[in-house]
Amino acid sequence: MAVESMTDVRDDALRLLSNGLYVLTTVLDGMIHAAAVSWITQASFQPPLVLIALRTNSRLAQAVQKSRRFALNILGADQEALAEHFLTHLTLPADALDLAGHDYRLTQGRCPLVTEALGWLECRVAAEPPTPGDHALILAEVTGAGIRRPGQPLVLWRTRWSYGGLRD
Amino acid sequence: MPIPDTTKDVLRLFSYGLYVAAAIGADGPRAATVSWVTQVSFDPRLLAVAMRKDSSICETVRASRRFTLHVVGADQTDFARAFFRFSQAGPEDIAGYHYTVGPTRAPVFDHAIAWLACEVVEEANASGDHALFIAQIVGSGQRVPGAAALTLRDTPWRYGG
Repeated sequence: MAVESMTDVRDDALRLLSNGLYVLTTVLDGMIHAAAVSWITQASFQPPLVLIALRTNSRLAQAVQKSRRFALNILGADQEALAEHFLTHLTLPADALDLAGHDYRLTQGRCPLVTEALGWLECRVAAEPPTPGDHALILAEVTGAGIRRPGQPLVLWRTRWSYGGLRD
Repeated sequence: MPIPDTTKDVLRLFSYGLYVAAAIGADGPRAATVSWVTQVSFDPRLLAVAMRKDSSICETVRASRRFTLHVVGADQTDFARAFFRFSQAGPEDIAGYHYTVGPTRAPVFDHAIAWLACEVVEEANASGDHALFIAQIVGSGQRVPGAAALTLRDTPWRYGG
């Protein structure tokens, strides 16, 4: 079979990759930053490491690179409406009463947790692997975790949105 | 300190697909099922794939710098299961699945619903138990347009935590 280099074909294959949808939060200089992210994978069992790709020079990437700590909120399959509130980067004062109308609390490392989420991870940035790509890579060690309720997580391809293949 | 079991449970809430990675090394072709995969750049189109450091697929990809990542279809659990462990490789098949070697010099299985030809541009994750390959997508094919991909959650298997 010939290698296809047509853009649409390559895009179709890339869009078959399965991703979740998570809300990343961090605090930097008295401001809370929160946004939905999707390009995430575990990268090691021992130590427990996760890899996250964030658009280079985005406010979210810059905040994480400086704060060195963040939380990942795992949304439930029924929380597409909640996810929608975080599709654009949210910046709020650290004493805000809520995040886009959603209750939150702070971890010991002062990362905001969306209390309605299924569960959460608190992570410490361990490395920023070099990449020639348009997203910065963050390799982070899991330093805390919690589950609030049983349930199935939100999966990107079951939502109205996609983030993969060619930029859309 | 986190409670280890909670960390495991939360990490298992991450969403993954199932893929068969294939490469050709000095000892011949190798293929293995992987799930820790994500796109990491639009332009250039890059993927990150984590592979257990003591696995033969990891050593083969590290040496050859190129591999094919095959998307396992929703009804192809047998295709994924065939590459959980080291499989006998022949000149035309691995574990009974026929392949051809494309221009990127890595095996391409006829059976996959879609595949991505990848060239390693960076290797990271010195501190972890998996190597992290950052790879550029240099080609692709889709055999069954419209076919759905198998997700790890829809199988009895877990890889995370």
